Amino acid sequence: MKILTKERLSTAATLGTIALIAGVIWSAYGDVVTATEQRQQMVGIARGITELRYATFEYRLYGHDRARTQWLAVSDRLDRAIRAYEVTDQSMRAAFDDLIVRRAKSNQLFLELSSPAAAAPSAVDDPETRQRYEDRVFGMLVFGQQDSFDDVRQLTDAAARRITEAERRVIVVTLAGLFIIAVVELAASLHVRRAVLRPLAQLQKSTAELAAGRWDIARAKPGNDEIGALHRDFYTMADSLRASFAEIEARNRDLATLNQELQAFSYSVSHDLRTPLRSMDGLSLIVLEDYGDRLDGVGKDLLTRIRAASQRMGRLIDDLLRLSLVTRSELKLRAIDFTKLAHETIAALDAVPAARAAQWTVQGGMAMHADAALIGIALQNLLQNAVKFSAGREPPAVHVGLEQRDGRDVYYVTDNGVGFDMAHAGRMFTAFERLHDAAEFPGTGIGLAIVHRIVKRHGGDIWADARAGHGATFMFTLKGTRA
Amino acid sequence: MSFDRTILLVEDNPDDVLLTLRAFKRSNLLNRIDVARDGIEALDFVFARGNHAGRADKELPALVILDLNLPRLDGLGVLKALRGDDRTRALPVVILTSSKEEQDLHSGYSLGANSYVCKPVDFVEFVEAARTLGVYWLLINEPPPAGPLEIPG
Repeated sequence: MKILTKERLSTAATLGTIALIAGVIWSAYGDVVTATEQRQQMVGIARGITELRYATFEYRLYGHDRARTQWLAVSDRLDRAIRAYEVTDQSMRAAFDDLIVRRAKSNQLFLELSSPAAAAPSAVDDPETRQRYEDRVFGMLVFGQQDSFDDVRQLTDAAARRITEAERRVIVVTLAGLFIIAVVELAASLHVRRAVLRPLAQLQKSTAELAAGRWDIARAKPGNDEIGALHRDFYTMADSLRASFAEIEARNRDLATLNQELQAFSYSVSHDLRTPLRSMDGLSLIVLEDYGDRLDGVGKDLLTRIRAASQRMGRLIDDLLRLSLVTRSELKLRAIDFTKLAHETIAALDAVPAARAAQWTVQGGMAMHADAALIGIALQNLLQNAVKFSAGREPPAVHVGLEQRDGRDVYYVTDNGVGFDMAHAGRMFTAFERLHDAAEFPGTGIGLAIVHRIVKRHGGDIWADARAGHGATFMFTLKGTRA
Repeated sequence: MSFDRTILLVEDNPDDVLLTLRAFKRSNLLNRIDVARDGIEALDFVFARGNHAGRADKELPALVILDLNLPRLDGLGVLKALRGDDRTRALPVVILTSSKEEQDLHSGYSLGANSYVCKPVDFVEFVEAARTLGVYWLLINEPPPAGPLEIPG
């Protein structure tokens, strides 16, 4: 059964019990009100009977008309009070009917007593007989009244009994209801603990184990309720996580293999491809040296070109290896004083004549969190480029700086060199792509590819801003690099 | 100049042999240079066994110039064998190779190479490297004394 259903049931039981208690209290209140009213009516009737009794005695003592009229008035009031009474308790029907019968009889007896002519014509003339007759009727009247008192008392007692009963009913039902509510609440609490809290704790433990990287989580048998569904979904999730993790691990192994193959390839490039180049260069030189006198200018030029081409290919291989090294080497991140690094890199460029002639400016206090060796290589390439392409200026000027853009640190190298057309800017971070004539600006076209790869390995971006003839600015960011 | 000291060049590529020999000649190093074409032959020559059992002087060369990428037994294997023998434990060995791999550098030095030189593609630079190397190891450097070395203490 679902927890929701159980929760609904327990709520319904509680509310039903409360409604029952309320209903019982309401009906008991109605009974008490009715019984109290009836008791008051009975008190009124009893008072009427007492008055009638006084009136009977008075009439018996004095016998005059005023007493008779009064008796009849009291009797009439008493009858009205009795008629106003409504029997609700059927067990009291007999007592009430007795009361009515006695009243009728009482009226009849009094009429007999007060009008002798109608009652006992034969005895009118004999005063002694009449006296006995009147004594007898009077006695019957008084006894009847006495019996009526008993009836009234019975009816009054019955009303009082009903009030007591109603009170007892309220108490019993309220206590029973409270007991039922307590049982329901206790059951609900136990159920929450057993079916909700305990499985949740189990799930929490499993989640923690999973988070710690242990796949073999203890699996409880899931129930049919919502928590059970949560358990099942969690286990499904753990299984698919495990599957994707295994897949990732397999891919990582593939990548590691691929990386090893790449290293083997680099090794063979480094060794095997350079050897024939050295032969080409060396043997060409030997021909030039040993057989130079038998060659004309064209022949010597051709051999010189073979040497130049071999050497150029040697440099390309070296650059390619450098690019692969930048990709393969392990990233060692630490805080770097970028200003200091820039000054050191500029000092190391001193061998380049154009670098010596250039005006260098470096912003102070620049810091970053990166791999010092790789960032050094990137900066060296950027500065070499800047010097190379601004060599013709008087003087060449290169600035290294840092600025904030959209909350990110943007490092930049800007020069006053020949710049380039932004239409071709997209290609220049690709290896061996060149935007300038190799004769005018020598190079293999690998420098910016190396810079690009270094920045990408730091999770950053690199881009450029330039105009042909108006200098160039190279900007880069690093991921999470606030030093 | 003591041209009586000999050099053993261990190199399988004939072009590299030719270029190396020429580089030494151009540097006016007139010492005799023996050439071994693979690792096994190099060891046979040094220890005067196998095909080289009847080698005239049976003396050790003054310097071994060792390529790494060799048939049969590679350069690191040769180096290991030389360092594992009392007679050649101190023999100067210079690795001369095309490889710039950090791993090769590391293995070379851990196995006891005395020097590691990378062959430049540019022949002019290569000649310069060979000259410097020859001058240092044949002229400037004092060779270890003949016979097995005893570890002091």
